[in-house]
Amino acid sequence: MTDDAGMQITTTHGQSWARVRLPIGQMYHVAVDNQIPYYIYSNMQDDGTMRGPSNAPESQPNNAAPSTGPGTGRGGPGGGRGGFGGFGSGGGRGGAGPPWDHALGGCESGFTIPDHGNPDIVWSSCYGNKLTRYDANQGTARSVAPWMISLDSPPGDAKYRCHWTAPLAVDPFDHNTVYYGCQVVFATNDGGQSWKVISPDLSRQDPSRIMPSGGMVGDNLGQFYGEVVFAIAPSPVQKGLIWAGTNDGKVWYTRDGGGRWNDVTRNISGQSRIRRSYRAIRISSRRPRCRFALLRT
Amino acid sequence: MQIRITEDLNATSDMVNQLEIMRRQIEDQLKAQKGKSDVDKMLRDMDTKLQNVEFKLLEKSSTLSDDKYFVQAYKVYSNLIWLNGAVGTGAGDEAGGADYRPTDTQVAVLETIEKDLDAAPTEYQALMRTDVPAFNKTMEVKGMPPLSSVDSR
Repeated sequence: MTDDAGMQITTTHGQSWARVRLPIGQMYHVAVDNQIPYYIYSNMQDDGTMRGPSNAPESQPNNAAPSTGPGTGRGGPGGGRGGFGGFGSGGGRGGAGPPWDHALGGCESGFTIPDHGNPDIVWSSCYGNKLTRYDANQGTARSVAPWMISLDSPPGDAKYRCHWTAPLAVDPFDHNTVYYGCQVVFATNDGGQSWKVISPDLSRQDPSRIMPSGGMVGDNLGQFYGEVVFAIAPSPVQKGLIWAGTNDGKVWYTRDGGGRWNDVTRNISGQSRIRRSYRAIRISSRRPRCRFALLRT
Repeated sequence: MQIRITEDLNATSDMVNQLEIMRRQIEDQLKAQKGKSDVDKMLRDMDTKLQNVEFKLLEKSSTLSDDKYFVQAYKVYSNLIWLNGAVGTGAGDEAGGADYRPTDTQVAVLETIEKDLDAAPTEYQALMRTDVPAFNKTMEVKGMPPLSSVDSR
C-alpha cells in the first residue's frame, strides 16, 4: 500500500506492516548555523523538519520496525522522521557525530532556520500559516504564528495569504528579531509572543491570481497562492536594510526596518515581461545596496 | 484559555447538534412526504434557514466528506479546534504551546473567533423562537410531526 510518505508492505494479511522509506526526498530549503562542526537544517516533503552536524550522516534503516497498522499519511506534530541519504553511504568526515534531530516543529513544507545567536533555537514555517519556535534545551516546539490558521482557505478569504512554503529570516544584527512573510512582512522581537506587520501588501494584488486552486478537487493549502512575499533578506552589512521579493515579480527594500518600503522592481536588469517569482535574495557582502536575486519563473 | 476555548467549543457544538437533529427530521419527512410538492418546498425552505445558521458555525465542506478536500475557509468550530491545538498540546502539524502562556496573537485570534460565535446565538435564538414554532404550527395543520431539537431516536 502506498501513501504520500512512502509505502507499507504486509505479508500477514494486514496484521502487521513494514514501512518502507524510499531513498528519495524533496528538501525545500537548506540552512546552516555557525557551530563547529556546523549544523545543517532542512525540511522534507511528506516528512518534516530536521537538523544535524555536517560531519555526520543522516541515515535511517530503509525498513523500519513492523507496526500494527498502516500509516496515515501526514505525520503528527512536527512531522515524522527524516529520510536517509544525503551524504552518500554514510562515510561522513571525521567519524560519526551526534545523531540528527527531527520534528523540530514546522512541517514538511516550509523553512527551517537556526537562530544564529543561539543554535538551540530553531524557527520553522509550515503551510496554512503555521509557524513554530523550537527550543532544543526543552525539546519542545511552540506555535507562534502571527494569525489564525489559513488551512483550506481560498486565498481571497484569508486575512493573510501565507504560502505553502512561507519565507522566514533571522536578522543578522539582532538574532531576536525574526521576519516572516505572507502578502506582508511580519516581525517579532520577543520569540513570537507578539508580531508587528512591518510592510504593506508588497504584491501586485492582482485579483485574477488570488483565486481558489481550481481543479477537480480543491486544494487550498497555499501551494497555489499568488501575490505573496516569497523571499525576505535582511542585510548582514547594513542594519535595518531588508529586501523582499514576491512571487509575482516585485522587489522591494526598506532601510529603516520596515518604516518605508521602496519598490525597485523596475531597476532590476534582465527583467522580462514575465512576472518572475523571487525565491531567494542574496546580499553582496561588500556593497549592501547591491544584491543578487535568484529567479524562478 | 484552554477552558475558555472548550466552553466556546461546547456552545458551538450544542447549536450545531441541535440544528443537525432538526435537519435530520426534515430529511426523514422529505422521504415520507415524497411527491407532495407544497410540503417538499416548505421542508426545503426550513432546511435552508437551519443551514444558514449552521454554516456560520461549521464550514459546509466539513459536513460533506473526510476526504482530502481543502476548499473552504474554516468557521467558528474548526478555528477553535486549531486554536486549541496551538495553545494546547498540538494538533496535526500544529506544534502546540501548553508549556507556555498563550501568545498575544492567540489571545487576539480567540477574541476574533468569539465575535463570530457571539453573533450566532442571536440568529440561532431567532430561529428557535420564531421560525421553528411557526413552521411547527404549519406542520401540525398538515398532520405532520413538529421539529424538535431533542433527538428522539
